[in-house]
Amino acid sequence: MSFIIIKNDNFKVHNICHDISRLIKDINLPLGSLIRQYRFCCREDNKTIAFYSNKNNEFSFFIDSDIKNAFINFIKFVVNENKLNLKNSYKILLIAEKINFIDEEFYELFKIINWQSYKKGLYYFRLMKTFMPDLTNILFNNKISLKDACYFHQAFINQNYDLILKKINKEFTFSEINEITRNIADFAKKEKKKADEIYKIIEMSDDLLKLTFQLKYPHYAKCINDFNNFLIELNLPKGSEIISDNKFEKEEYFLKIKFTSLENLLKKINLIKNNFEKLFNSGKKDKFLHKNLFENLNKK
Amino acid sequence: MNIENLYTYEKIYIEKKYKNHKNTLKILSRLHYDEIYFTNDTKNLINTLNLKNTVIRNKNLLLGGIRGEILQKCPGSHGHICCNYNVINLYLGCPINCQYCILQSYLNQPFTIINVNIEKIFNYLDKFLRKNTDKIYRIGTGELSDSLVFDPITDFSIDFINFFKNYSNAIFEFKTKTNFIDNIIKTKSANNIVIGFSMNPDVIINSTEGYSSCLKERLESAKKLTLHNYKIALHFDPIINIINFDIEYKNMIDLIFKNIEIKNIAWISLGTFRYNNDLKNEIEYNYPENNILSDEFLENADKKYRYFKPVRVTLYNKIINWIKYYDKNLKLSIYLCMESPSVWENTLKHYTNIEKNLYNIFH
Repeated sequence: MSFIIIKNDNFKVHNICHDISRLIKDINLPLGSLIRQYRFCCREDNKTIAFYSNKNNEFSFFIDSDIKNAFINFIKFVVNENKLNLKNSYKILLIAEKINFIDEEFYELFKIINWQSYKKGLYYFRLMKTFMPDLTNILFNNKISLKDACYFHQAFINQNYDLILKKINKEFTFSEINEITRNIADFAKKEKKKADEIYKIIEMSDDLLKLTFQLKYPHYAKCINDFNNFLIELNLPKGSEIISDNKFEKEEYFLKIKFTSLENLLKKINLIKNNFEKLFNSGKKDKFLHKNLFENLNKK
Repeated sequence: MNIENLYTYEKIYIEKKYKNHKNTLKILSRLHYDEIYFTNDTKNLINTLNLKNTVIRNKNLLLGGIRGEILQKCPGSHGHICCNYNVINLYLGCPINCQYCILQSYLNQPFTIINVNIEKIFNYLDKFLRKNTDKIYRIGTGELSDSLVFDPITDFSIDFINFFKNYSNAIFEFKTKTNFIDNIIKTKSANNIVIGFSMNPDVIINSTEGYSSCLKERLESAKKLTLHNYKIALHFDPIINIINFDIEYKNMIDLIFKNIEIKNIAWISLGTFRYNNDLKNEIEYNYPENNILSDEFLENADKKYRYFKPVRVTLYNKIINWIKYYDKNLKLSIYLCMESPSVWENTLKHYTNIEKNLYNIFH
């Protein structure tokens, strides 16, 4: 395949020219960029055809191949000069689809634009085309991962989940939004809930992170709550804490005490001892024992 | 189950060294395939074939010789009690395609592999078992495939039974979700041969266990084997926390014990569904409508996700209690797979002495 610079006024304009122009506009190419200087042409049916045209160009960069190979090489130029974001990568794939890329050609393009490879890459691309606009916006604003966006969308496929997304506060971080959408999707799948039913559950919430965590992990969330309340009742002095397995797999605990002197340590130990004895003698259940902590989990 | 579909391949690769091996020729005569290739360099072949997912793997087959360690310990899991199962990777890849199967993330080759040179396996095992007579080894072929899924084309079960019956310090276990027991029935049984059946209610089998046999077929096979003096094992793994768990699993247990006598059960294992991140990604991608991952799973210290502990303990205790109804004298040997000492303590403590349990089961 050869690449030459030609002066040529006699060319047709490919129907992807407009799409590529818009793509290039979005990408912040350096001033000296090759792409800024030239029109890009290739060969189609023995004619010269422009697939990217900056109307100030007098000269064309001619890639002596068909539109598909030319497009791939053009994208290589683009990627060389600028790191692509997800939005622009997606636009590139839409253009490739317009010129009828087959699966294997997409796989080659995926490698160039650092997209998920092979069939999974195609799956993500095709699923993205069916996203609701709000989900696409959240994705392109880097507020959700592609994987979690696809997972969320798949849980509510063919449903209108706009209201759910609007409820997700713009103040949440990337990982919080991923967590919230994933928890909602898992809850919906497990309980076979539709988008509108989910919205009814979450609409009045002022702590979406906590609520969706409780929906996804009903037993675990209850245990965390009960255990934390129990720790509060222990009334540990400042600088002391209980170290435990936060997944409640192990029934073993460590008591960590910060102290400054022997006297200080003795004072703290006595305080802890008194508080523990008080609780022990109160008749309240020892929630260090899992049989007590897990006792009410299955009761409704 | 439609057997023919299981043995239809687009491409067969054969290691040149085994081109004329009797097992290669036998297997080829029983397959349907489009193209056949010979190779001298399997490692390079694996590297050059790009696509390595389950779909591709099930369309292509390699017939070759066993590589690496012949006898390996099951990897188990750090911090969890291990049953010391030893595995021979006779087959790599499984056409049954259970939706929750670890193989979709664990295997990374572009074809299913059948190792044809079983004489090499037996030579090694003979030396090993003669040298190590101080303990009993539990050995099986059900780690990277179903032990019997290829038996109709290989007949390897006959060879394995006839080999292992000569070694009193080995127990050989087939693990299967199929009813492919014809060869085993034809072969005289031995005390140290066990056929293990994975067990799940039909609602799970039908929705997630691909091309496996239904529960009725597995039970009929198990019963037939016991009538031929074989011992069977039951593996309730993975146990899945489904809606109507109590009804579905209890009905299954009732059906099992209507068909199988306790004296014919070598052991029972229980294991709730568990997965790692790689498997999670594969299930989400390959089976987006499957909601098995949507439940209350937490990541444990060994990087595997399991149901929250009290949920697991509840599921185990339900199954154990239903089993106990039929096993009032607590004769059965039951163990948990990849579980912590704490879960053992909260489930099987009253059934048997945990410390001695695993030793007693396998000796």
